[in-house]
Parts: sequence; structure tokens; C-alpha cells
Amino acid sequence: MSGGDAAATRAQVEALLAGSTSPQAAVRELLGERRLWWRACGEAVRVDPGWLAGERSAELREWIEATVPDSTARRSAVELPFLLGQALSAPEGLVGDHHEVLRTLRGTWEHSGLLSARSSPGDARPSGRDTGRLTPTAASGLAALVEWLRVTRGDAEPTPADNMMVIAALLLVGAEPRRRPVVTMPVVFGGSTGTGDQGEAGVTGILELSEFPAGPPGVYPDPRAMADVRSPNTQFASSVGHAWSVAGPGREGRCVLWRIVLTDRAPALLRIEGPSLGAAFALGLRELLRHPRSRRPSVAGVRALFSGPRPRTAVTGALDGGERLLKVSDMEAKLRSARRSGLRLVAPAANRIDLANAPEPDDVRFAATLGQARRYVRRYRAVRLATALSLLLAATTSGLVVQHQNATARQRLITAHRLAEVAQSLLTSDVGLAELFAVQAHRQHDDALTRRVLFEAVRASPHLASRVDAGGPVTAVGSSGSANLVLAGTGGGEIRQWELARLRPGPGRTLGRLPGPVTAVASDAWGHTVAAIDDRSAMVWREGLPAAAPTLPADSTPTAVGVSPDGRFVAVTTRGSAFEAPPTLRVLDRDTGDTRGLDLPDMFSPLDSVAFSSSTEVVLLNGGYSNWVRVRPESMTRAAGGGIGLRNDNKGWAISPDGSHYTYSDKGSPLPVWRTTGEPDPDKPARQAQVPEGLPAAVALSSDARAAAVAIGSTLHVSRTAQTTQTLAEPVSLPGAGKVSPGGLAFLGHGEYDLVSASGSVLTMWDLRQYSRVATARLAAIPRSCNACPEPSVSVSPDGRAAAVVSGNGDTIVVQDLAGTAPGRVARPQDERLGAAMWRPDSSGVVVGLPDGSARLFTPDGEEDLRATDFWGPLPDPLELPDSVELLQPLPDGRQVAELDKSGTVLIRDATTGNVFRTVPGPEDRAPTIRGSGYLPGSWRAVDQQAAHAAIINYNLEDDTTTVVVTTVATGRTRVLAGDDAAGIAYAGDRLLIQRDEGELEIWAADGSRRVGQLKGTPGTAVGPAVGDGLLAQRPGADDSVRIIEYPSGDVLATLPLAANSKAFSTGLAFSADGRTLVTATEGHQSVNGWGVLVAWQLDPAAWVRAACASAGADLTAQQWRQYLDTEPPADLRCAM
Amino acid sequence: MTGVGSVVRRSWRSFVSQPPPRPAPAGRGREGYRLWQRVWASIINRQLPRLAATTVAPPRVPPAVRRPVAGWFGLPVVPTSGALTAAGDDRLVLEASSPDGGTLFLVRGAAADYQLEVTLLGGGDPGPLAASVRYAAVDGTEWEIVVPMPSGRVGPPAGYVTLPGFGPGSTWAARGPEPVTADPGWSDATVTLSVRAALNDATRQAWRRIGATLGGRLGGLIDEALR
Repeated sequence: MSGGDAAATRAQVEALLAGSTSPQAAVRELLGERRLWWRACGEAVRVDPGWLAGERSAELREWIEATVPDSTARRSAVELPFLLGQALSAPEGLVGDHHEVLRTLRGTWEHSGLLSARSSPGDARPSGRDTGRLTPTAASGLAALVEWLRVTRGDAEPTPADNMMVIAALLLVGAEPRRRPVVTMPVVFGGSTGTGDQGEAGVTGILELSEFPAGPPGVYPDPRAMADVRSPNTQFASSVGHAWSVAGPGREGRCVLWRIVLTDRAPALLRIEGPSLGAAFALGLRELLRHPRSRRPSVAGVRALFSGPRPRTAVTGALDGGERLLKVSDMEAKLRSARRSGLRLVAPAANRIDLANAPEPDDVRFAATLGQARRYVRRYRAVRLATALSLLLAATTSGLVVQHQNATARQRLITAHRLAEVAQSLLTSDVGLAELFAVQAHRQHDDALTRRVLFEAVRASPHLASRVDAGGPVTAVGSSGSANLVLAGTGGGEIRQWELARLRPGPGRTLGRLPGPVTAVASDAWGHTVAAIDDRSAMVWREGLPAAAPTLPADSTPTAVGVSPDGRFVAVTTRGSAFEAPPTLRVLDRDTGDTRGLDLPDMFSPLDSVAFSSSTEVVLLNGGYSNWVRVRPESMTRAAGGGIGLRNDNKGWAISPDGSHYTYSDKGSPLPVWRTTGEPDPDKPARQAQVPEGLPAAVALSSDARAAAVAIGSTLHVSRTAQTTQTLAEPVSLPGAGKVSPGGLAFLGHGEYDLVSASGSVLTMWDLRQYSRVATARLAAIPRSCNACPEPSVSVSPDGRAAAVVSGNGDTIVVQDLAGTAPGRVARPQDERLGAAMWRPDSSGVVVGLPDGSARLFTPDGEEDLRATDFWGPLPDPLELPDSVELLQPLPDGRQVAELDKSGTVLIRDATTGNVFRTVPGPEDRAPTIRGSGYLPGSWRAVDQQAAHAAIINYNLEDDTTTVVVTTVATGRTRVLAGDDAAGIAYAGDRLLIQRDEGELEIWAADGSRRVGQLKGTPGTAVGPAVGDGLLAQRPGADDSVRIIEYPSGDVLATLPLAANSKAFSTGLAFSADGRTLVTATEGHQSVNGWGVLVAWQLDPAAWVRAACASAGADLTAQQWRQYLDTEPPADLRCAM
Repeated sequence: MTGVGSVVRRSWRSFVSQPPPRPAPAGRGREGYRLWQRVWASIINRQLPRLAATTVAPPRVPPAVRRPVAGWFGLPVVPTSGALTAAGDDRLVLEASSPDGGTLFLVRGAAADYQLEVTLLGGGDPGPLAASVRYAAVDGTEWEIVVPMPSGRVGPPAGYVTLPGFGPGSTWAARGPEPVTADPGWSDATVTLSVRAALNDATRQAWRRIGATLGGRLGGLIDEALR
């Protein structure tokens, strides 16, 4: 302890006296709860014994004794610490005058009437616990006191007063009672308590019990508070002794201090008499001694948290030496004082008669024994218990909920990734099913993997237009000649039809049902008349209603059916049941209602295909034998016939919908196509088509045999036919068609771009003109630019509906709608090099900057042109050093525009007038000269959203390096960033992204002050990064593709194809305002007047889900889930929600 | 509801601390404490200090003290109702000072038991000093109490006396402290009452000093009263 700390209490005392305006208040501080006087004396014993022998302490003692009110009579409270402290700190031990003082003090306790030998079994020495930190002076004084006590009593047993002296000395030298647990018991006193007239009979107080580990065993008054209290007879001390004897076995070897504090407006407690506190002492001691001696947490401690004595229940009663409660006196006074203090009273049952007329019987409980009294006194702390239980319950529930959520989230993640794996495995075999699984995966858990797989699924087999469930295995497909209707016959005999709108089927409709599996179905040109056959019968529907069907010979089997384009004739070929019975053509003339027949004995085997070349001629094909016959249905006469004869290797055949050509496959390539006219040479087909080698599941020809299609495995291969002398086009592969049914492939109508295939119960429509289900592609007037020119500059309108593209050499601007088929509007200004383009806020026109600082506004003019009008005037340029506009960007407030010129100069302009508010020059070495400002492709400049910073890539001709220069617009300060291989830059929010040649994508603070991260990019990127909604797009220079990276995670989302081009800077990239549509503009490949390609990709997972569900045509079934995942499916497997 | 001894009822009564019928407290809630204060006290197992309402005096016009003469100054009346005072060690109900700010008058106590502590700020001991207070008791009796100023080297001089009959609404006035002259003008009854009103040894020592200074009849009277 330091000297400064040593006098801390004394300093408090002096400060109190110096600042006090009321000696009475100061005395209360010294002798009251703060016990400053006691602490000051104890402090002196421990660290500054000289103070106790000095004048100041004596002066203070006298002053306190003189000032203390008579009513409190705290003389002993003043003398005890002072005199005992002097004795303990005597320099030569307890000698001289101190002997007499100690005898006096001991005598004071002996005559206090508070001590009982029964409750003071100690041996007048410290217990040895909690005395380890005593100072040497204090320990020495304490030892001397114990020795003095031993010597002075001689052979006699230690007295309770001896124990009290030890306790007082221990407290004075620094030993402390435990702060917890402290038991408090409300108590009541009758009228004889206290001194003098109290005004009201009876007072209430609090009995406080605390353990004093350092003291000798027993229960003793706390000398710091009870030194002046006296009891005139032995009744009180006996009652304490009885209480100690019934306090339980836990009392052995333990020292307890008690004190009583009056809570009424009563003078200080000076006198206690009578045995009525015995019950309160007993209950309090039991409560206290339930706690273990050690300070470790215990069950008793936990129990004490939730149950204990009621703070507002007082107990009174004497003990009979055991646990029975004896009658006490002054019950009425006690009851009145209890009521006055709001206490409930527990009284001995023997006093019941005294309180028979108590006004509020509920205020009193009568107990015959200590046990009964204890039940009344103790209580469960309901609020605390409820709070604890609530907290426990809440914590447990929260834990369970969190655990459940975590487990659910983990399970969803696992399931999502398994679904993604399944989707990926199905991409080449069944795209529709893959889409359904990908949607479910994304719905289970949205992360980089499920997004990537979903995007992959909706991009797979890009010509797949839609799918529809026929409700049963499809055994025959057909369509109307105008392709407005698709037909399917099922193994269950159902004939269903769907109207098509841009190859999207509407609701299906069942026309009727045949007895057996449908083997063929046909329609007229517009779908008004539909005919279908099974192996027994034929049926006809007109306008969706059953109509007269051709009559067929008994025992004949229909083999093929056809309907004339005008719907007048329905032709059915049959074969007879008899051996060598010739094939027969039966034709129903719907005008007359007659069915006529024509035997065709030269066709050798059953006819299997019927195609009307016109309404007056029908072509019948025997595919197996590869011969054909033309019949005029009106006259039922043969018009022509021919064939190439039996082909043993014939694995599949088809006739074109107009009957003009037919083909067969021998698993080889190319696929031969013959006309159904004249006499074909078996070795010289009229046309042929390039298809892969393999066993076809189905073969189809388009009208006039312009295209042929084969289904091999789960992939369709479609190829344009060509004469044998021409170069054959490579086939277009349509993977993911599923296992195509025999005969389950056909061109829709008379076109060669749309097909229908059947796999199981699913019909799939294919559109060869479709670029992707999540992208549109348009040819646009984007001419090829010079090799040194940058890529085309793309700007998407604020409404996202159109894009403006300025060609790389700045001579052409085209505004192209991103949806629909409207042609683009083009302008080719003469003698002007167009700079950057910026859309008007209402998407009504495009503002394009010019090198002289002026701007033109391009607005629609007619259907295919753009009108140019002046928008801003030119800026003064006395030196005639033009600086082309490389970037125009409206600021968020809409009133200003940031312009970045080729020299790196930043101008802040008025959006309407073009007035320049601020000009911030770029790097000095880029200042305009008569030779211009150097090379600056589109991905070499960027301005952040607020136009607070601008960045350019500066090419250093001397050492062939590129560095990034960042300009802070507010200060005009430029900063050259480290690194010499920058390939592209862009701002993403408040971050500057720098694409390095080696592939790293660095993330910098917007002002270029520090690098904050790095992503793995694409080495050799020529264009980009372009920034979208959490996405980056970049184009590798050596590859015709665009790489999409998620930002800021850096996960690769997809690599998208681009139109082929050999020039590095040939494709411009731009995102729409919402960042969810990426527009790529690739300039023409062949010539300066050629057409480029404008592609708009939807990069929004919600759009992908919509596209997947629209094309899948059905929901995932529980059976499919179980088949691929082998787990129980969720209740809701709907695709579109 | 079950019997009076049921756990539920005892818990509820403990929670709400339902009191026996008595006059409604002036404060808000049970005994002047709000619900949350009582709930929190229950949780932390602390007994809230009891808030006692100041005694409500009967509605009557208090008797006026005799018209002040030169040297006397009026003091604030102890309020008859209103504020609650926290019953702690120090039941201070009124604190007032003399017009020159050199003397502090502190009234403590409650009901019919009020004490007055007169503190001389600034100290000094040129000789025996005494202050006087006059007041009208609730029964109309007019009292004058002389409060001698003890001297000492610790703390400010302060006399501590009881005020018989003093109560809420009593009008009162004081003068001094001033040096005690050979003829202080005190009546015998005033001297006897004042000496017996002293509440601590310091005040009685001050009387002894005054008695020794005055001598004569008054000195004897003081000695008689001190015995």
C-alpha cells in the first residue's frame, strides 16, 4: 500500500469536516453507514499507527463525542475503534496503559447483554481464514491482543467478550465480512425498545446477518454498528443462543456477525430486550449457513437466487430451546408497527388470542414451530424465477431455432448443389428437364454455383423454343401447313392440338380418341381439318368437331394419313390382312362425302407416308422400298410413280410436307434426297445434306427439301440441303431433345426453321432463328473499322429498349431496338467524326459529342433514318487543336453532364446548353497537338457515377507501356498508379477496377490512393471491364467471347459467345441502366459496309427463371425428383411462382 | 383462487407488494415507487428505501409569531404537505440561512419531534455567541429558544437543540448569533427551556461557557438547568 493510499480514509474525513456546513451531518457520515471513523482508525492501525497517538485523532474523538446527539449516544462507537486501535498499534505491544483500556472495552462487551456463551463457542482467536493480507503491524497487534486475552483469563475458558474483542480487532485491522451472501430479515419491536418516548409504539427494523470468515465460531454483534447497544437482561442473549443451537450443522466453525438497523422514524437502536428476535435469528442463520463456507458457486447459491426470505415479512417469536415458538409480548404494538411499515407479520401461534381483533387478519400468519414460520417467511422469487426461466427458454428456443435454421440452410445448400449437378448432367440430353432442376436448385439456395448452372441451362441448346406435355407417350406428330398448329397422337389414342404463337404453344386441346395408339396425324394448311389413324380406324375432325371419316375396307389396317391443303381430301393408305393383298389408297372427298379406293399393287409393301403436293395431287411413299406414287384424288388415278428400289440399309426415311422430295438414311453421311418426280438415279440424289453418321431415331425433310433433320441420340441435327455439286453446310446441332420417338420429328408447316420433336410425352418446338432464350440478336449497321480504331461505342437507352452504337471509326451511328424486329435507324454524317454517345433522359434521342466540343442530337426520322440537329455549340479553339469526346455521362442530378475528352480533360457541362461549368485538364503528355492526343479505346477511360474522379489509360510510346492516370475532379490532382500493363478500366461504385494484361483485375479506391483488392480476371482482355448489377463483363482479345464475372466475389458466371471477328477491338460492351442487360455490339467482319451484330443478354436470375419455366412447359414432377435425387421432394415443385 | 397461503397468491402479493389498507400515498404507485422500480428491486433483491409523506397538518391557520423587531428575521415555514422526503439517516426537512448568509438553520425530524441545528459559517471565536429563535407552537404557545454556539477546532460552530411544539406550518423567526452580553434579556423560563433543549455535549458546553461568562442569577439558572 502506498503512502498516498494509506491516508485515503483520513483524507476523506478531513475533506468532510472542511466542507461540511452541518456537524450533525458530518457525524452521521463518520459513524453511520460509511463508518469513516472506524475506517480511519483501522487505516491508522494498519499503516500509520502514529496518527492514533497524535493530537488530531484525539481532537476528532472529542469533537465527535461532543457533537453526537444524546439520542444516539454513540460513545462506544467512537471509543472502541480509537482505543482498540491505539492498543493494537502500540509500538512495544500491548503494554502500559492499554491493559486497562482493553479491560474496559472487554468489560463493556461483557455487560452489553448481547452475548451468550451458547452462541459464542469460539476460542478467542482468529480462525485463520481471510487474514492473509494483514500488514505486519496489524498482524503483530492482533497476535498481541490474542496473547493478552489468553494471559488475562488464565485457565478460564474464553468468554464471549474475548471473542468480541478478537472480532473487533480483526475488523479494525482490515478483515472483512463477506459481502455475499448477506441475509436480511425484517423484525419488529414492541414499545419498550429504544429510549424515551418514540411517539408511536413499536418499531420495525432489519436484522442483517453476514459471515465473517476470519472470526472465531459463533454469532456476534457487528461491533462497528452495535457497540452502543445494550440488553438489560439475559433474555435476548439467550434467544440468540437458542437460535444458534437450532441453526443446523452448517454452523460448526463459522462466525456470523449481526446488526439491526431500524427502519422507522425511530432514534438509534440502543437497547434490545426480550426473546422475540429468537425466531428471526434462527431463520436468518439457517438461511445464511445454507451457503457453503467456500466462495465457490454452489447449489445453495443458485437456490438462493430463486428463493429466500420475503423482504416484507417480519417474524417475531421466542424459541423454547428447540424449534417451538413461544408467546411474545407487545403483539399489538408489533402488529401496528408492521402495518405501518407495510410488513406482514409471522407470529407465534400462542399469540393468536392477542390478535383476535386484528383489523386485517391477512397481515398476520401464526406459526407454532420454526418450520412453519420458515414456510411463511420464505418465498419463491417469482419474477426472478420467471425471468430466468424466460431467458433460459428464450436462449434454448433461439438455439434450437438457429440450429434448425442452420441445419435447414445446410440441407438446402446440399440439395441445391445436388440439383445443380443433376441439371448440368441433363444439359446435353434433356434441356427442358435440366432447366427445371436448375430452377429448383436456384430456388433452394442462391449462390454462385446455382446461378451459373441456371444461366447455363437457359443458354443450353439455344434454339429450343418451348416444350409442352402431351399427357401420354407421343406416337405421332404433325402440324398444319402454315405452322399455326401442332398435333400429337399418343399411345393412349388421344389426339391433341396446340395453337402456336411464335412457337409458344397455347393451352392444349384434345380433339378425340382412337381405340388404339395413334400411328399418324395430319392437318390441312390452316388446321381446320385434322385426320388421324390407329391400326384399326381413321377419324376426322372439322373445326375441332368430329366429322365424317373415310370408310375403310374390313380387315384392313391404316398405314398413313394425309389431308389436302384445302381440307377437301382426306387420304388414308391401308394394307389388307390377306397375304399379297396390295396396298390401298382410300380418299374421302369431303365435298361429296364419298370415299373411293385405289389399289396399288406395284407398291409391294404397305405405304407409310402420305403428302399432298397440292390439293389435286397426293404423293404416297413406301419408305422401306423407297418408291413412290402420285395420285390425283379427284379422279383417283395415278399420275406418276417411281423409286430407287429396295435398300437393305434403309434405317429411316421421310417425305417432305409438300411431297416433292423424300430421303432415307443408311446411318451414313451425307443424307441423300430424291425428288418424287421423274426417274431418279439411285446413285445421284437430287440434293444432299450434311449430317453426322449414326442410327437416326427419326428423319424429317422440310418443304421442297430445303433442309433435313435427323435425330441421333438426344440431339437433333439440322442441315441445309445442297446439290451434290455444292459445298454442304455444317449441320446445326440441337442437343437436349431427349430420346426422340420414331416418327417423332417434323418440320413445322412448310418452313425450314421450325421443328417439332417428341420424346416420351413431351413435344419440343425448335426455332433455328432464335439466338437464345435469354438473349436477342440483331443485325445492325456497325461497319468494320480500321485496324487501329477502337471498338464500337455502345450506349443503352435509359428505358433499356434500344441501344445506340457509334462505329469504331466514328462515321456511323445506329439506333437499334433490342426487342422486336424493327430495323435499326442509321445516320452517317459526312466529314464528322462522331465521338461518345449519351442518351437523353427520356430515351428520345442520342447526344453525340464532336471533336470541336459541339454535340449533335440524333432523333428518329422515319423508320430507318436518324435526324441530326445541333445540340451544343463548339467550344473556343483558337489553336485549332481538336480534342475528341470519348465519354459523355449524365450526372445523377440530371442537370449536368461529365465529358471526358481524348486528352483526359474532364468537363462538367450543363446538360441542356452545354455550357462548361468546370474544366479539369488531363495529364500534360496527353495535351492535344496537331497530331491528336493518342490512342484511347473505349475501355481505356472511365468516370465514376458522381464524376468526382476520372481515369484513363495512358499509352507511353517510348517504352510501349500503359499506365493508369486518375484525376480528382474537385482538386484537379492527377495520380499515376503503379503498374505498366493496364488493359482496361471501369468504375464500380466507389471503386476503380483495373484490368491488367496478365489477367488480374485490381480493385482500387476511386481516387487511386490505394489498392483494396484483386480478382482473378481474364488474361489478355481487350475490352472491359464493363460494370453491371454485381457483374463485370470483359472480352478476351484472343477469343470471340465475353466473360461475365460476379462482382465483388470474382466468381465466373459464364462465357458468352460473340460473333466471330479477327480484330481485337471489334466488340463494344455496355450494360443497361439497371445493370441487368448486357449489350454487345460487334462490328461487321467482312467489309466496311457490312453488318455487325447487336446482342442483348439478360443477366438477371429472375429473367432466367422466367425463361426456363416458359420453355420447360411443365413443372418438375415428384417422380422425376425421386428418380434423380432419390430423396423426398418438397411439397411445391412449381417452376413459375 | 386458492387460499391465502397458496404459492400463486403469495407470489402475486409479493410481486405487487399489496399493502394493507391505509391512506393513499402522495407519490405515484405503491409507496411512491413505479412498477418497474419495484420489479427491478425484486429482481436484484433490494429493499427500496421507504418513502414517507411529510406529515399533513390539520387545516387551520397557524398562529403568527410575535411581530418581529429589530435584529430578528423570518425563516421559511416547514411545509404542511407536499413533497416526499426519503427517510434515511439524516431527516432534514428545512434548510435556511440568515439574511447575511453567515448562519445556517437546519431543521430535522418528523411529526412532533423536530431539532434545530444552527451553524455559524465562517467560524471565529471572539467570545460566547448565541442565536435565538421564536416560534408559535401548534397549540398557539409562543416559544423562544436560545441556541448557544460551541467553539472548537473541528468543524464550524453549531448548536443543536430540540424545538418543543414546533411543527409544520409554524411561523418562526431568528436572530443572531450574536455575542452574549452581560444582560442578554433572556427570561428565566427561556433560559431554563433553552438549556434543557440542548441535544449534545457541545451545546451544553457552550451553555456552561455562557453561564460562566454571565455569572450571577442567570449563571446559576444555567448551572441549575444543566444538572
